[in-house]
Amino acid sequence: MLCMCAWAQDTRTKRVSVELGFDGIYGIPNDEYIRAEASYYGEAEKDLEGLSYRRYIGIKGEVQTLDNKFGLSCGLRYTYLNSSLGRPSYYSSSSDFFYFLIKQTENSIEYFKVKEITQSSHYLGIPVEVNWYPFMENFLTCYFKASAEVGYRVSTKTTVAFVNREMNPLQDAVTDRFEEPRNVMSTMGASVGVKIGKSKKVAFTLETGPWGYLNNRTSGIVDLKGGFGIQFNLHLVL
Amino acid sequence: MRVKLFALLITMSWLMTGCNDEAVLQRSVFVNDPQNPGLPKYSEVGYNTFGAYYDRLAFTSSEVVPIKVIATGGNTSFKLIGTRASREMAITLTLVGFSAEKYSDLLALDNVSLDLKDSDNAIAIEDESTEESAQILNGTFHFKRAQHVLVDAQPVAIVLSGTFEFQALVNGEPITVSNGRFDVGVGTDNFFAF
Repeated sequence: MLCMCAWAQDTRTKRVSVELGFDGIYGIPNDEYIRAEASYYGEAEKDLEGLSYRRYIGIKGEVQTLDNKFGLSCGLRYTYLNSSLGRPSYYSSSSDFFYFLIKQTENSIEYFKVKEITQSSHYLGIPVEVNWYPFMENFLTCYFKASAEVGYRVSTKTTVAFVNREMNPLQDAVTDRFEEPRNVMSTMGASVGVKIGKSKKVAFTLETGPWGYLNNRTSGIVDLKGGFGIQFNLHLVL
Repeated sequence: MRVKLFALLITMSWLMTGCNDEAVLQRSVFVNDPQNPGLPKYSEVGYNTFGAYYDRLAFTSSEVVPIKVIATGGNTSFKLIGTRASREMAITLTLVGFSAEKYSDLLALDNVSLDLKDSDNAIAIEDESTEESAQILNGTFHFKRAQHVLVDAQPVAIVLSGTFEFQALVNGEPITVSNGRFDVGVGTDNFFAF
């Protein structure tokens, strides 16, 4: 509503932006059913890689106060969230494996040898941002931002990479051990940005900063806490 | 020279990584029991640990091979190998008349409780390479659970879990072993039949 009311005031600066971002996410692997290399003293210190990241693209509109010191923006964002257990880096798959406990009956303990478990989710969300422009405009102009987002999970897929490919039909035996992520996720963050150029019509900005999840179980396989990343924006001044 | 050394290091680290992963199920995972400090918590998942208080001092499993099972002459012995006060030590339980031809025969021990006083079964205690037979005064050895371990639907080991305690005379000296618990895997590498 605030955006729409402000939009009606012709004297304010209004911008439409396209955003693109990438964040590395910190999380604690859900290793309850995993038997991995561990230190002798304590099962809590399993040597298990847990890697998560998100990519997003969105469009948003911003209106600024009369003195152009503050701006309020709101829009629509598509986010791809990926979490994995056993993956050592963003760019490569694991050559090692861990044991995943499928079930324990009266007289048997059954494990599968698993290289990697990956869960990917797609979200549609609404980002809300408050920008603060405390400095005079130059070729490089610094500004600050506080942001929040509420997103709805559209779909999720979990896949298992077995060491023994004959086990592939039994993917559900592994994925059923994990809880589904929550349908709604919310985040809050802060960042510092820099506007590049002095054009009155087109602006490029680059932002970086931390953010955190306000809810748990955003991923079923890694307990995600928050992240740090970069966001690139292309602004068109109306 | 530097290139060769680098290549050697890479190869060694690759080999070590590979070996470690293959052996994960054989590794010991010591989860401390807060109720009984110094002993591993009782478990039934094959953590390859055991522990007991031997005259109030903790006797706990070796990280390398915590148990050897030796079947010979119609008897089967379970040798628990560990340390007590930094000294190597072992307690061996011999089941007289129980003959296991292969490690999977140990599944027959599921929920078997032995009264050590009223049976022919024997306990021997090895301390720094000196083995002594123990004259049992009282005690029990309870195999609470014997389970197959299946990996990718193939059997790879048997996990034996349970508890034990006894009082005995060793060289005429009375000793007490209390709060004993074990959760160990037995497979082709630590089962011997001859």
